[in-house]
Amino acid sequence: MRLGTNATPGVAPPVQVSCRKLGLLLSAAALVWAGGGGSALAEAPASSKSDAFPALWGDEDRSSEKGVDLFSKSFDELLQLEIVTSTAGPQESRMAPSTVHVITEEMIQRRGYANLADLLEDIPQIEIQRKAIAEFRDMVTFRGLAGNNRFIVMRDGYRINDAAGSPHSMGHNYPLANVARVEVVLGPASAIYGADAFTGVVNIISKNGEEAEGIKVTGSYGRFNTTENTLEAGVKLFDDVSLALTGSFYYSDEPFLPDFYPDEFSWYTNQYRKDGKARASPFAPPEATVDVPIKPWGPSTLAYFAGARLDAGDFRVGYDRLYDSYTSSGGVRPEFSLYIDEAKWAYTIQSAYARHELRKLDDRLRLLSSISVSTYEVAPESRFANSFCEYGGYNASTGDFSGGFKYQEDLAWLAEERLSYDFARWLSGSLGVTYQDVMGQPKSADLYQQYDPDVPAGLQGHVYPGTRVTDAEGNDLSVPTDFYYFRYQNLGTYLELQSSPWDWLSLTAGGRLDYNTRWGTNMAPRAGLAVTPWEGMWVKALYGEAFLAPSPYYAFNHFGSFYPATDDDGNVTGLQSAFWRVPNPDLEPEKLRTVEVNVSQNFQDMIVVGANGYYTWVRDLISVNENHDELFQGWPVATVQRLVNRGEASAYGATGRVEGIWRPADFTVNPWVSYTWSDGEVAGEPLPFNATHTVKGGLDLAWKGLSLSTRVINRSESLHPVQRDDKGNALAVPGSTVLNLHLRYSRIVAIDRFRVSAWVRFQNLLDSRYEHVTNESDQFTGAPQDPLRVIGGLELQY
Amino acid sequence: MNRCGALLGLVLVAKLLLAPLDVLADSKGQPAGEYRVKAAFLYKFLDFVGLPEKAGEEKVASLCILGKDPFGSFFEAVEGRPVGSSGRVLKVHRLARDASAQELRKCALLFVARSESESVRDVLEKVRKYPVLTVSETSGFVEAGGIINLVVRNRKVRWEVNYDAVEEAGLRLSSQILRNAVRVLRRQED
Repeated sequence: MRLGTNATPGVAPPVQVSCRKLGLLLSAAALVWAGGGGSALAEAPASSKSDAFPALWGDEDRSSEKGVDLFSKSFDELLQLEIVTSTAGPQESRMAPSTVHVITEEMIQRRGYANLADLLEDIPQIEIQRKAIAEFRDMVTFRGLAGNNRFIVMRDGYRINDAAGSPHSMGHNYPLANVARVEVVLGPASAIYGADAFTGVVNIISKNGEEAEGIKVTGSYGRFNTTENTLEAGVKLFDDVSLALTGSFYYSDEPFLPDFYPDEFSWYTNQYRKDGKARASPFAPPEATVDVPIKPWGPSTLAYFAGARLDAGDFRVGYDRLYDSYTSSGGVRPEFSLYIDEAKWAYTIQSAYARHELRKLDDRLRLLSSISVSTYEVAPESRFANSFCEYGGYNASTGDFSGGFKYQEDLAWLAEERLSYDFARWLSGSLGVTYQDVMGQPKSADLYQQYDPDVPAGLQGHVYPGTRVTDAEGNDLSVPTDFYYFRYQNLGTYLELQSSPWDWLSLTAGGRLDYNTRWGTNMAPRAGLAVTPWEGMWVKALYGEAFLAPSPYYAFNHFGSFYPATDDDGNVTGLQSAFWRVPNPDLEPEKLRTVEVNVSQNFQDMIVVGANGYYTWVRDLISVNENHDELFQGWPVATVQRLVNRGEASAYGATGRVEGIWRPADFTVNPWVSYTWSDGEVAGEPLPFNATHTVKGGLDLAWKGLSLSTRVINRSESLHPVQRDDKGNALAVPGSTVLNLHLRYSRIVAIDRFRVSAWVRFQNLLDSRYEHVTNESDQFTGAPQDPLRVIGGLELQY
Repeated sequence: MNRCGALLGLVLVAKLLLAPLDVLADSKGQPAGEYRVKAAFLYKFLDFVGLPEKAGEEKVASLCILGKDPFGSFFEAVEGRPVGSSGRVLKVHRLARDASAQELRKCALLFVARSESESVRDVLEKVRKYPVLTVSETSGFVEAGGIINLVVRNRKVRWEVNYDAVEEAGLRLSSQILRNAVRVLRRQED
């Protein structure tokens, strides 16, 4: 790994250099595909491909025209013929060496899931604390372990959350437009995906241009000036060549929370709006206040997504761009942060890929080649306006309001080769090699002015907060801000064998070995055993390990501020600080091991009863270490925090689930309910962000074009990670019950290919007042949640 | 950068080495592709169903695929081949999702692709009471009035049958089809 601080003036940032290299590599890769793929393109049949965790389950139909003429076989011979299993169906997901939930397009439409967070929230063993984190808004927990950087989000098999492992939001920037299905794997998957597939993997499978043929436009409007709009278009350009385009746009003023939570926002109403006052610091006495600018309520949200996918036989390229912008004061008490339009966090993720599949030996041998590139960039205008950054650098005497800005960017590219081979009908295997290069600039400290990505950092004149000070002798005490750069490579190889010697038995064993130039070598094995003792019954026992990369975001995250030190006469003699979080580039990966058992019984394809239990151990947990009276940048700091690998955690739990589906006449009735028990310890204390008892259920009803879906989530209390009572016990956020409802009337108008549908969605139908757990000391223990939201829309399809 | 070049070089070499392997292909004893098997069953179904002759279609058995075709070129090898002992030859039609009722009713076998799952009921309504063997692979197809829904059980292709729909269409289904169905829906006996 190469690291550096304070970019040398005149030297272009390393990201720009690497972009040029990436262009050369893409050209080289294109030549490789052109050379190796020509004959394959000519002979490949048009089969529907799957991106569904290809290495997990093997790809879909592999047939070719060559080989045995099945049309000449007798009916009885056909009956005895076994097939290469598809990745798409529920049977195959039961065979997979993981706990997998598959959410189909039909379910997404009927339940009215607008974005990924809505969908994940209904899956057992996943919890989301919404609007509870100032910087990345939503905290997602898989099986008791919280962290948005602890799982991977992919679209069509390619990662679309930050490849360098920064936590970020999961809202309308991940829309569910033009989606065929979403697959959610709970538990470790590093044996295939390497770092960061720690607690789970989410894969959004889009439709290709032929599947999405036509055009579909959805427009909607709802309470709090909310609008969500999508565009889906698909066209078959030539035989075997199709193009799909997807777009979405979301905007909301968001609720004026003082109207709905007057007690929680009494400071906002009585001190801020009237007198322009905020508290100096959560660590200072309550009576210590500062003057802050009085501005209108402004925590609006804006998100968009744009994606394109071109399929040409066995060759495919894709591009996705997603953007999210929201308040950076979310969950923070109004005593310590300003709910104004300027306090926004925004970022963009771009991802592009190209892949080709070569199939030989009657499709028993497949070689998948792919190259992908992704970028993550925090918008330079992102800023905080809270007590840690002098309320956005506000100077009451001059009226200057410039500060609290942040910046971050990274670029990653990944090349992967995967060779799969069916040795016999009872044995298949996959061997893969990946090479990844990641470089970038981790999140900066608070900046007085916006970062300019086009100018070397060292020329921009950034200084740490509170250091624009001159001492009594006229010396400038300003401290230049450190900017860090990182670059590392990762070489990984994986092997997995799947054997099914008898119909009732399936075995999977494999592992992945990674060498990373930052943290060295890691091995992540996994094994699975699936047994079907009788028709409809499945029992699975699984073991897996995973590791979480110590992302640059955490390794180099540093924030705090200085203030003048004075002598007895009030003369400035230097600087001092009450608090700094300082970097630790020597962090190592967190490691995880999980054992789990799944049991499922399908009764006549009408009722499925299932249960699972898991136990997870985590070691080398990254946690905060606190020291006192240290120096930072040569000045004394009272409290210094740094992240270290020292903790251990365990998480264990179980879920029971019953789902039914009946289709009498034109009706569809689909009730489902699950109960999850989740518990564990982290560094000797109960798990934060975790509800011990959770019930999730719903009822979907459909009759011809009409459908109704109700969904309920009941959670017991959850604990705060840092806020404590007088006895040192973690503060708890009360449990809650939230009911959602979605109504849809499909094809109200159907004239030839033109169709009109309408829908209305109610979130928090009972207008409950409830809270979700936050993560910092200056926040509410529980962030007030949205009241009833109603939104209605029209869908036009041609 | 050098390592990247070496890696891409390896890819190129691997692809060139693998290119001639198809001449060694021997699929005996190996599992077959799902849609090849399904295609073969559709071909057999045409022979196992008592299909009345249709005006202008006396010499062909029309197998129609509505929506996104998952079979690719599999039917090319068998198109024009006689269907059992009926004397008719197979003709494959690929229909767009806006195909008219008249077009659908000309089909001897209508395969409704997964891409049309949302409009299954509309499609079935257009061919209701017409001698068209409707087949799909969509959950809820037989409940919606379709005749045969293909499923995969223990890695083998099987199907569900709506017997009432068979009778409503005026078709006669071979006992072999019924015997190997994993489920036969007979609403009238409920």
